[in-house]
Amino acid sequence: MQAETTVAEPNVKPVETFRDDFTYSNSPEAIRRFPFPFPEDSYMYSVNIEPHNGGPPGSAYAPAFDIDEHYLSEIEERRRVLEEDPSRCTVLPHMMTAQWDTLELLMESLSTDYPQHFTLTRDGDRWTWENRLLGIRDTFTFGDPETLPREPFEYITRQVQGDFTLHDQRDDMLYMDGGMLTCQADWSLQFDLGMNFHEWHGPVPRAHEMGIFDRALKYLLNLQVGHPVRRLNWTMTVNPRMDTSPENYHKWGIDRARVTPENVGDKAHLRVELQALYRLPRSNAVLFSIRCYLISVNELATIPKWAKRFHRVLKTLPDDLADYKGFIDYRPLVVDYLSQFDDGEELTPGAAPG
Amino acid sequence: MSMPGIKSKPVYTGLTPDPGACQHVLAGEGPGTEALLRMRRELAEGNDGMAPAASSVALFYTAGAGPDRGDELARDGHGSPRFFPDTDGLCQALNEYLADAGMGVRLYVAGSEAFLWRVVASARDGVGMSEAAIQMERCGPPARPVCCIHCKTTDPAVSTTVYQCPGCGLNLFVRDHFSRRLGVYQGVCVDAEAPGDVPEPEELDS
Repeated sequence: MQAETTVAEPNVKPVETFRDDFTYSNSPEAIRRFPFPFPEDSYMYSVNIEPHNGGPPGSAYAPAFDIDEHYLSEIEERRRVLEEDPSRCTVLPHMMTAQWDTLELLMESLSTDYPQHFTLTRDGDRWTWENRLLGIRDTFTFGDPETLPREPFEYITRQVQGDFTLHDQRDDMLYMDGGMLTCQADWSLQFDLGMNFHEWHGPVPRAHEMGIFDRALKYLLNLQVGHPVRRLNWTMTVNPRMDTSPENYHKWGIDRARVTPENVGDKAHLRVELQALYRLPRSNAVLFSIRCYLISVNELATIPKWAKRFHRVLKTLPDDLADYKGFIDYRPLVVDYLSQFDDGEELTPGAAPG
Repeated sequence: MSMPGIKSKPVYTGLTPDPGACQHVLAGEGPGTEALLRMRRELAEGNDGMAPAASSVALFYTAGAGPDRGDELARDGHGSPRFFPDTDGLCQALNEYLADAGMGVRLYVAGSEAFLWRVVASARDGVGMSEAAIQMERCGPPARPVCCIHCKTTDPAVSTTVYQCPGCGLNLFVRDHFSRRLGVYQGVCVDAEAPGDVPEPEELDS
């Protein structure tokens, strides 16, 4: 856990939308702290896992769970998705201990990293949770689900940005035994629930053959309490749409056909997931947090190095990855658009903006 | 159009008597009749690696996806099968039987892919049977159970990708991604990005 001075104060905006009129946008401060995922001019899979033990002051990596200017917007979007489809939050019955582990971890982390917004007071099993951003103050008995308005996992993940999945560990394997998924990049919790690690990664091209998943699984099975790890993943999304679920693909898929040379800078977004994995102490389960960040190509292009690098990464990305990530059809439009920003100069290594 | 080698797609090996089992329970529907007859013969007479089963053998049968070949099972002289009018009835009776079975019970299931996973889910979720104690042999035409990701309607016997969802009417592409919990493949709208541009259906071959 970082000292609180290294964690950026979130200047939380009023609610913006991730659907219909899409009022979501990033402030210049949010752009500068965007977790840009490309340290080099080309991209290929790797087991890019590192300790999640803080990061540069003010960055998205500094807190355990990043709260930023979009907090209220993402909480509201989650509420809307769950209202339409409550099954987006499902946890199998044997995971109740892991639910409490999650609640404890999130409450402790948020109240440590953002004491101005969150307070956890403990008196034995009697806990009081205050979330001043949402106007919540609840007293409950830790371990007794009857004392909370919802099951513990749903209760707390409705108050935190990003998706979460819960993984039971049995017989040297991880199983997808629960989750809160309202801003996922085209995969279904309901469908993948109960699957083992290899099954739920089934559709990913190349990585199985490269041995990526065998190595990643071996690493994760040995994850230790108090030593979380993280990695970045990325794709592209048309419009700042958080809910790119397969369940609603028949509604949002058409967006991909509506990218034009005129609107590509505003419509095409880089979607980055800051993924962190935590071993939970009582249940020995693994909590996987998938924090999603969206930035339009035009916003990204305000950082010259990023515009150049993203141009080169997209241009050289193998077709099967562009196809799997779902942007192969409009990739040429993005590459053409970004080419105006790329003079071919050699870039400094690393993903930092300057 | 299908994606080869997806890790969640089940691989079916076929039924072989397990010499370590004390109780052998066979469950099948019409298309699985050959496999059931073969298994009963091997269990009664022994095969290459195994002496005749001194242990008990039970058989649960329904015509299911058809054709009905129950009379062949009744005539083959290896004990009396229990016949059921539908898969639900079979699953219920099977679970009652399995609940009373001791350690060392093996379940062998033969039939269409939809039938296999109905029986497996019922035994797993109903009486806690481990998938490690279940063998499956997929029989009959290569039709798949597919669930529409959009409206959640399952069609138990989809023979082509693309097909029209009987629930919401969308044209769906059949992904090789398979859920053992739900016993279904995933059907996803095929023309979401170009409405009306629906490819010709292709036969599913496995």
